[in-house]
Amino acid sequence: MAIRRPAGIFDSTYDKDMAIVRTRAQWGMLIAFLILLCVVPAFVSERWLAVVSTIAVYIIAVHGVNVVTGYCGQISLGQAAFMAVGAYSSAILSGMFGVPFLFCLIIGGVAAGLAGIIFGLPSVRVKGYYLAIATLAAQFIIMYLIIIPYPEITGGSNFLRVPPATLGGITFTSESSSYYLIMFVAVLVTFFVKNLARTRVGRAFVAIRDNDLAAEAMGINVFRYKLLAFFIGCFLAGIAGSLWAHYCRAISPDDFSFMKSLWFVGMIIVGGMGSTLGPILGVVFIQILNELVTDAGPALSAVFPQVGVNVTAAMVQISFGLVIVLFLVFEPRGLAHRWEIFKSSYRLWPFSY
Amino acid sequence: MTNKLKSVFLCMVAVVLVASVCLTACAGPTAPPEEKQPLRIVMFGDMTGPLAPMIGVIPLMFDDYFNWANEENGGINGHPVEAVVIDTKYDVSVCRSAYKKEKDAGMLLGMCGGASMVFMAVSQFAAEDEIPFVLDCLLSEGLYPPGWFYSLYVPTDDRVCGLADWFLKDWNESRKPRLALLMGDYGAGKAPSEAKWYLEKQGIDVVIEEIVPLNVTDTTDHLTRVRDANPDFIYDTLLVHQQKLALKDRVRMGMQDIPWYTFIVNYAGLSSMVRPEEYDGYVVLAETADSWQQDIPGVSFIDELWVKGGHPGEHAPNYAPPAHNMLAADAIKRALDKVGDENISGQAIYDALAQTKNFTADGLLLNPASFSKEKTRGSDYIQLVQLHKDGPPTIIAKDVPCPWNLKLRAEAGQ
Repeated sequence: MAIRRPAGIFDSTYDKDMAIVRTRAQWGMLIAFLILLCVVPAFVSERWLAVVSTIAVYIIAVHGVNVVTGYCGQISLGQAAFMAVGAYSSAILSGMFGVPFLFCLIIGGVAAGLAGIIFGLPSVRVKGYYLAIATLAAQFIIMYLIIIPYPEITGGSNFLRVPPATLGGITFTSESSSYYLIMFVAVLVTFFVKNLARTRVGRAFVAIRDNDLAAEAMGINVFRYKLLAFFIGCFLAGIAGSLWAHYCRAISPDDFSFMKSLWFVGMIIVGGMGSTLGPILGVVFIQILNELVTDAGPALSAVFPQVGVNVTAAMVQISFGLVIVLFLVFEPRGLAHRWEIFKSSYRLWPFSY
Repeated sequence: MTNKLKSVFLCMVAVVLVASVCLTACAGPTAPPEEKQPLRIVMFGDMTGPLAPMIGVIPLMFDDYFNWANEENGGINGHPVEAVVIDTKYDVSVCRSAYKKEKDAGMLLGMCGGASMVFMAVSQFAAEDEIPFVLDCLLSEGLYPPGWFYSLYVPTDDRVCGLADWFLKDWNESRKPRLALLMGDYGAGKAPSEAKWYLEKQGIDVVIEEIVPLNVTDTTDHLTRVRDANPDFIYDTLLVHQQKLALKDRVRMGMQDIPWYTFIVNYAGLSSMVRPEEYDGYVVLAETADSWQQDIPGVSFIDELWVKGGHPGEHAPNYAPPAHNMLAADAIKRALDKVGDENISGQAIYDALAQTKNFTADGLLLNPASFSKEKTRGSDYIQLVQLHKDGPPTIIAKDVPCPWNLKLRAEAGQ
């Protein structure tokens, strides 16, 4: 992207134009960031390591929502259910049939992707609210299929125990080893999604999002690309579900609720749709805020014991909602947009134009 | 004053001063009263989130009880209780990180307030970290295989097994009795499905399994399907707002003749929301007392705490959570007595929980509860209590034994 750069800085080759990391300073920052990710377990408590691992899993799932909704413009309200498909596929394969983790991870993703294609079929005919209802149906139908018909396989409404992930002789049982596994996949997925947006497929998605009739007139196979977006989005949900199952080592249908699907959509709204950075910032913002309000309740109760724990719990939840509402009022394009503005100002400083 | 008198007076003052200095020195240092180490008990409960309207009272009652214990008794054996309430919002990730934080903060005992999420998030760590948990929820998976989780409840699937055995005793027809399961859409609510193998083994046809959403506003379609399945009896795990709708629709749809059993009831709450003719004949599978049993000392005590806590109504909505709080306090007290103030630990409390025998919680438990390391389900019996439109509830069956579904299932290789 050649915009918002100081005068005189331009690309001289196509390779430079296509590069994600453009300067030595950016390379340095990227390497420093990756090193930082590697050393996180040495510096943070188990509690915050658990938070970071959860954030990484959710980033993968929200990247999926971003592909479907942010890039391709197709609303999806069933992401948690697709995550459940990946989680249960992986749990059943590894727990009952002893399939190695890596295969479980891929099969979990593919199973969720195929489920996504089935529930994405209505997107060919309907859009907007109607498509939202169709994907909402996925949430309830998939959870029904997990709970009722085959409880002897899925565990029904109860927990399904999942063995820990094992890869190359390493068993990922501790918080820090799980962190490395999850973070590695999250970085890989982020790299994949970043590149997807720059490919022919990604441009087709964006064209469909902006105007599907015009896209079709330009020769884009709308049917194919919409289903491909659902497949990729749900594949990523499946990968996230599989990682979550092996990380928690117990899953139940209650962990893949409709509320979670709504939160996933909320996360890309807060982070910013249609950018790779959006899901990352959205998930980090919501999850960290969630942790802080969880801490704030007991802290407030200790300071004001006469108020009562129910009032303090309600107060912190209200403040959580208020922060999000204020945020959407003042920055409706998401945190990623704010970050872009900040970067531009920094690059052009002290000349603001 | 003459010089002689002045000297005598000064001598007397000097003697008094010297004497007081000597006495003070002999008395040793006057240290402030020794403050014992606080005991950190953590309630992981849903105060917000989808289940909060139904189970949000559990953390409130936990807070009330340990506030009372601190104010009236100075805590447990002189140790102040740090009663911490964590709002887990029905979210596994919050439960998991909160558990890790509380472990580092020195949590001695955890309590799960009603939602299964906490168990799911921490089940793999409790034994490893030696932190026992009191499960204040009807989750059968929390209790089998036995581990570091103890509960006074009979789980929802065990209850339906007990009900089925009791129902079969008076069954005289040649065909199998037909049972409809009307289940609330939450973890323990859907658990009766897990007992289907036992029910079928005992000769009962489960003709329909209907799941009622938490945010339901009308149960007509659910009850229509249940009625069409033609059951001989119905077992529900509906929460109070779902019960309210179902009982109203039951009368409207003329289903009063089908015997209808429920897993738990808030009698004061239900009778204030539903007309008497709508709950007439409804049978509760109870292991704890309720507000209509004011002659039980525990009930009036808990009602007093409820009113003192400034909550609405004159009766507590549920008497099982206080029983679990009492169990926690009792186990900690016995652990302190056994290992001493300095050596109190999660392991000592776990051992004390396992040694609990004939615990009644001031009469709140209708049958005394006992535990061992192999038996983490405290209650083995329920009572069948029928509600009436023109009088207080009556007990129609006492001491109905409840099979331990998951244990039997594992033993049967299912």
